Amino acid sequence: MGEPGQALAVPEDFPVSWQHAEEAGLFWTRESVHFPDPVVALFDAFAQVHDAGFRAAFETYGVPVGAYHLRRINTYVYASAEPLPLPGEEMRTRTRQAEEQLRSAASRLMERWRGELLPELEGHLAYWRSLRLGEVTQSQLLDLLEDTLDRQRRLWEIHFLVMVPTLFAMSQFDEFYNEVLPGGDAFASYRLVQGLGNKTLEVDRALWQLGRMARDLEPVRRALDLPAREAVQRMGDSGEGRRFRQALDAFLARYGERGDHIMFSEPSWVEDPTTVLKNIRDFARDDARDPEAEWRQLSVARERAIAECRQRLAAFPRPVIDEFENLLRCAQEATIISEDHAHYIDHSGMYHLRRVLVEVGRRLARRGAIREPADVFMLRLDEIRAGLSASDGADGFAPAVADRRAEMAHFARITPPPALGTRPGEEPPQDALTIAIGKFFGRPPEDPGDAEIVRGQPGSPGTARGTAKVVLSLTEAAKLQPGDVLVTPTTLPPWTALFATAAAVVTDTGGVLSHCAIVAREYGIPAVVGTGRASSVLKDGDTVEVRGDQGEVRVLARSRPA
Amino acid sequence: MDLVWLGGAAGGDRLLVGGKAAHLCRLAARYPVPAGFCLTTQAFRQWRAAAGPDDLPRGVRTTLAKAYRDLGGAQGTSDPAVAVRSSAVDEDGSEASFAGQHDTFLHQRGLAAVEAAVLRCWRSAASQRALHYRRQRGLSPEGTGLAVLVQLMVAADVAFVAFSVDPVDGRRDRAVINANWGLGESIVGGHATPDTYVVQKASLDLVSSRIGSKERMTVATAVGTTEVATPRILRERRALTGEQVGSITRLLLELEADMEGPVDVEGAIAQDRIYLLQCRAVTRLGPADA
Repeated sequence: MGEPGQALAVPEDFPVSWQHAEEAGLFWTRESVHFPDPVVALFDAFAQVHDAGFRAAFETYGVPVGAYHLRRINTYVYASAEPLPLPGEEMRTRTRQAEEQLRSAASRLMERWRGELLPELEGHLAYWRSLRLGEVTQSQLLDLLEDTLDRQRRLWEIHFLVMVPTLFAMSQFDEFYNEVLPGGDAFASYRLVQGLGNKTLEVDRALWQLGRMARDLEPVRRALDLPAREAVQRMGDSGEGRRFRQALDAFLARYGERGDHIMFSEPSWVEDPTTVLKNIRDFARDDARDPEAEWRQLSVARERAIAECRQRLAAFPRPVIDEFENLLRCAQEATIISEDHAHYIDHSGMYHLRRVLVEVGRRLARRGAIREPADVFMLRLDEIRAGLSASDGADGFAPAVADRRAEMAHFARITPPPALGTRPGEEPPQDALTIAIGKFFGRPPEDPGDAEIVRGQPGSPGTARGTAKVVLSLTEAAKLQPGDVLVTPTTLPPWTALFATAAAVVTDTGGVLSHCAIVAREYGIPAVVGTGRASSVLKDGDTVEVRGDQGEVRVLARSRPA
Repeated sequence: MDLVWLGGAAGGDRLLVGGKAAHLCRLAARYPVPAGFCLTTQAFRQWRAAAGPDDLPRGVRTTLAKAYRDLGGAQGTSDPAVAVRSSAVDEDGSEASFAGQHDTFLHQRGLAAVEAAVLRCWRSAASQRALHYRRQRGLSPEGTGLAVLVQLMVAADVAFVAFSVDPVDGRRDRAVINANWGLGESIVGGHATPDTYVVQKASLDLVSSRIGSKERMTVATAVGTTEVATPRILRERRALTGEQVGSITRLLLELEADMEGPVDVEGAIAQDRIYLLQCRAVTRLGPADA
């Protein structure tokens, strides 16, 4: 992996040409939690918006880190945080001050989220929903695009304004809990913040209700076996089917801006409801578990665990009890917000960026600058601006688009290295915020295990056996049958309805505070996260045992000899 | 008289209640000392005269049970948590500090636990080790007896030890306060580095405050106390507010005036109220006084 301070070796099939010499001196790691797949050329424009939002939020809290960059390198997303050259003592002082700020932000976060940030987000979304994109002129569309990018910058600022204190609060509570109530398992503190409900679970619950409705309607059950488009058409053939389609349309009107990915180049459920129908089909089975009942049990267990903790702390000094109650409340609120913010920003916000870009694509395609609207994602922002400013004729982006599509296809077959650039000279400081962010992104396991034991980190407790199904994207989700073990590079919130029927989940990325781990605990299924390699080592059909508490997966039988 | 209440008329009788209790009794009249009572040296002598060392004399037992119940009554409980301490007649005088020689049982709850703690104090005073210690200091081996102090336990949020002179350099114009979360044993026992606040006595200005690492704190258990690790957030936070430092310093100044000389004080803060647990004349001073 290279010595500290040394440039990392670049694999032959992954040549890197840095735009600026300084970039080679930074330490770049793959951001595969949110971006497991190759991304389009236009991603760099999004990265700028995202980085600016990050910077603004970190400045607000006075967190002493340098600029943070997302960068598309050979079509894969890498991230780097520039170190801030501060003398050790000043760094410690500023870190302490930032922690104070984050603590106070966390204690007022729900109030600020509900009273100020969520209404602002809803304002931006209402603005985009009000746009009649088909009716504006080309130059108005360019203005709308610029306006959209400005608003996106603010969305991502809000994203980090919310997420930084959120992760901080959850991590602080876990640390405090284990200090005052030692001896619990890896999940002891998280049992006190589960079963509270959030937007992700609200969507899953709505899917469950559609599933129950479908179970009782024979024509709908039959239609669900067809591919999505045909299934929806077939429902129109009967009264019962039409009744169900009304319910489905209401669901999509409410939650359809979500999609399988967090990426503007990918369709949302409104455009392609395949995943929605897959979830409904699973929930229509007679043996489907009732998530409602399970959440009720979880909240009973939560209240029991809290009461037990209060009893154990009863004779402690009051400042300890007060801090416990304060951090518990902050962590509970943070657990809700950590899922809810994604609904408005990562999903709806991204969908509206997509809508504007698709309209831009239509105009450029109509003028012959590109072949089809989706080609717009293969352009750079400066090319789009030039294209929208030009008034005539084909500007000939087609060759560039073809090259970039070929590039994406090429790198999709190549495994990108986990890190690029230069390994930092010294280990980054392990302050409370770094630890908190580490619990979200995870870290590579110290001992990756061998071929028959895959090690990661505990994500959700319990042990389960099942048939492994390696799902690289939600388009492959159909092969996941109830009782199977979901093995995947990463899971984002829209995947979680699968947790209701899966026996367990195993990911390559993420930590104990990742979306995947949080929601797996809500569903009460074992999870092992951050294995670094489960999706490449395990194969479809392998019989595996997932041990959530130990953070390891054992292969009991291979589907075919290795 | 087997039992005397703190603050009661006979409480100042040193031969009856021992040095520590007599002193606390005087303080109880003017300062916020937790309520309590004292089993007198007469009760001790009855026990020693009786045959069985494992039982309280019948009359003493009845008296203790009633007093313990009454102590709890004021708190609305039948089994209040109490501290049980020995108080020797020739202990804790201003000329010789016997601190630590005799016993303290913190956070005892229930009559059975209190009785057992009283017996342990008595037995310890009659032990070979105690007799040897007394002989070495030229005191009569029999002694004039031992009393046992039973006081309501303060559920301390913060404990402090305060000096009306700087114990390190002996400066008399400064007071020094050590503080930690929880009960005072972690400070007294030296098991944690407490916060240190230095105050200019004339102006009550804070000269310096150093946040100690406060590694551990003493907390109550069902019966007794235990030491636990302090969570990081509280280790990094100051245990006393500026206002509390001021109040403690004013208390120190009053005690110093009362006792006509430098004092060291043990105290506790619970529900924002300050309690005085112990006050001694400082018997040895640093260089500035020499």
